[in-house]
Amino acid sequence: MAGSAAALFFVPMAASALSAGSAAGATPSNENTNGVLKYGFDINDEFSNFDPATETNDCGYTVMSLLYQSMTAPGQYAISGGVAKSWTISPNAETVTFTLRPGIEFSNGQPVTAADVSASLLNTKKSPLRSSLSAIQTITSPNPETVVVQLSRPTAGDFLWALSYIDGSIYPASTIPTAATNPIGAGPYVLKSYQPGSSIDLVKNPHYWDSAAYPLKAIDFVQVGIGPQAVSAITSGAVDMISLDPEQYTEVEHDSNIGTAITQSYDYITLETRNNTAPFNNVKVRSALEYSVNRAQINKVVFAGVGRPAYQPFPSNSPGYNKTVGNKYVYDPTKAKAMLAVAGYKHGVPFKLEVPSGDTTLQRLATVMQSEMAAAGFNASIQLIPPSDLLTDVYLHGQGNALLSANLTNGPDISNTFESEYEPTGFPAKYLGTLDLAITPDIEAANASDAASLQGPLMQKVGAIVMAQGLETPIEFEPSIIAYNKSVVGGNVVAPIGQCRSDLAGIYVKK
Amino acid sequence: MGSGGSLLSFIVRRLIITIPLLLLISFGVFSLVLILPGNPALLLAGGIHSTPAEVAKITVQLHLNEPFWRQYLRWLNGIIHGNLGRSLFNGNPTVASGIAERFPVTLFLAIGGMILSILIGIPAGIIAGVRAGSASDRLVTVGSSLGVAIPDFWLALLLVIVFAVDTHVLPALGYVEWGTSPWGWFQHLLLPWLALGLGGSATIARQVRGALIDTLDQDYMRTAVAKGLSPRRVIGKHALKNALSPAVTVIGIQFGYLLGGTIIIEQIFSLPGIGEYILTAISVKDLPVIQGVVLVTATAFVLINLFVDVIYGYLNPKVRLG
Repeated sequence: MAGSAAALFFVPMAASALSAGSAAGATPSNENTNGVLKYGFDINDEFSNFDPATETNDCGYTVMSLLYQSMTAPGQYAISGGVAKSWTISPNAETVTFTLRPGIEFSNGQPVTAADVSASLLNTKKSPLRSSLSAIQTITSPNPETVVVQLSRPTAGDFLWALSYIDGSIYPASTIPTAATNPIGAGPYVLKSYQPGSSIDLVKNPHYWDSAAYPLKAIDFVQVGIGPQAVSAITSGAVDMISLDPEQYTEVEHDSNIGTAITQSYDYITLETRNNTAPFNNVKVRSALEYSVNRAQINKVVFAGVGRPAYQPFPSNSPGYNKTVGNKYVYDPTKAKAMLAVAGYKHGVPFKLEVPSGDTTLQRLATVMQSEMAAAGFNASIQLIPPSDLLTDVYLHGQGNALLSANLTNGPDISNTFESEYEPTGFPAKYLGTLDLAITPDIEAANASDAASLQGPLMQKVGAIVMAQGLETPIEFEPSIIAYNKSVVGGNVVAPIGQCRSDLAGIYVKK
Repeated sequence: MGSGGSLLSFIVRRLIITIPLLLLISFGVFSLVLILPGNPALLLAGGIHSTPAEVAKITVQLHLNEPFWRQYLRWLNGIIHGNLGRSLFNGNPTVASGIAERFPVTLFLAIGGMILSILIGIPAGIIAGVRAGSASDRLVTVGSSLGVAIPDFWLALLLVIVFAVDTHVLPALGYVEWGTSPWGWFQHLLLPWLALGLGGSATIARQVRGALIDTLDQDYMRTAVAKGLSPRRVIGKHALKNALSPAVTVIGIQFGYLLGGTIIIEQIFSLPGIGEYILTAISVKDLPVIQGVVLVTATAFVLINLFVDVIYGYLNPKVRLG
């Protein structure tokens, strides 16, 4: 299974880089060729260190993706080349043969070799956080340009998607001991300086294979916390670009000096229920829950109307979107109440809803949901819980009946969304009782391929079962929002699909 | 000589008391952190992707499976040898290096805030105390009441809006090393200093005002005036020395508070100090960092109090008897 952190995210950046690179040529007349972009980033909470094997915070990918070139690069619906120019998958989906990109070099000028690829993947594999690599059985190199990875299970497709993330970062074998503080990669930028809790400064990598795609001479990541501080940072000019939450978006959307870019992500807020104990061990109760949330209203009130209601686990532009399910589960409190009565809960269902503290979006959402669900017969008592205690208290110790959480997906790697939730090896599946053996074969079949044409129909089927069984209650597809200073930032600003990433290809600083 | 010897023995007595106090603090810090909910081994083992075997392996690696007393003695042994341990995350740097990197920022912040508090608070308190009941006294009283009532985080946000967002006079956040740019360093710390210092100055002003009014009401002050001493000499030489004694205690306590209590201000202004360091550590249950920072902060607080006691003992010989 590729349920590693790697598989949690979808990464459009490299694809943008490729397109930007191909379009690059003439320098815009207003481009400052020595431009330094100040990018607001929560270094304290979203970054750990530069070593792909020990990085414990997936949001570190925002920076890491600029330092390291991964084996593959993600695109809108397919994977493209990174360190590997191309690859083939064996018919049994257990062997992947990579052809390395000719002439690719690390930032220190050293050529990227098959030995480096092997050393990187085997080293990163040691990290329990990168479980997607646990499928690696052997890595061989029949010639300097070719790397053959033998997997222990038929998950080649999922493996390839994972390699587009931190898991697939390639670094020189000799730098493994110092990677945490002195990263050497083949990405578009090089670390210049790092001040813990304050700044991470990058400068352009002169050896990058697609240098034209990244006009910025340097990028300074500046510590900015989430929330109101992000707004003051962008409006005061302390940073030139920053990712915003929907609450903050409304504060800058009418500011004539600030530009915004919104991309609809595959990440979604979901209500995970404890399906192995009452009341949610009753499928009728769970089905009623699907009708008890007014997703359209939530999108309007909590997400400023810039997200998308999630009536199923995949958005309408995904190959996994099931047209038959469509928007079937619209808010219908009367129907939900009737279903609860049939299930033996005619006086309603009281339950404890766990909500991560410190996440204002989730807290606002919980309050709105509480009122909506009350009309449908679900009486939720909200309990705030520190995020660091979620694993132990909610999963291990069984606190609460449901958990409101953000399901960070790997975008187009659509089968990955369900791995940890519904496969026997999954952590939530084990502790929340969401395992459903009826859908496991379809998830595994989808893992074998990286093609949306194969994964799509399988996931449509799985999505329909998830909703019919009420295995979870998807609420809202989260918008990815970027704000930037119009007088400073040039180029086509695109918000990355999903959280914890940056998309800086083609961006420049104006004169 | 007699007075000096007495002061010396006073210092020695206080130092002796400090040792068991620090031991008690170390025990308290270790105990509190261990009973916190959450499990760092689970996070390190991959969170929701972890396996029981991996969690068990990391639990052993971190010695979390050992009895409490053994873990405490292991940690204490490290402390005695100057080893605060290593962070469980971030590539495992030493806690000492993490504190060393961040402590100067917090120290500059606290010193600057304290200086501002003193520069504003003492003169304001003297003016109000000497002219009790006058318009300037009322102004200081109202101002200091507001200063005490307004939370420093609210003041900080207000300062950011006025001086950074609206007027772009000062930076809203961030930190520049003194060595990189002294002017940049000053600019980035000015708003945090104001946010911390204005509240502190209000407390000091109230303290000085009250003490000065009490002192000026004493018989020996009237005697000094009756002897024909000038008001400047009466206040400057006789009244202030007594009136400032309690203020010294307040200043000492406030400085200790600033060293350990600037978390919110550091967050608002994105300053890479101790507060940010421990907050991040708490969020991921980085036990060695939490223990190290709390211990160092508590030790600093104890030492500052010791220093204050010594000054107080110098100003008021009577307390040395205790």
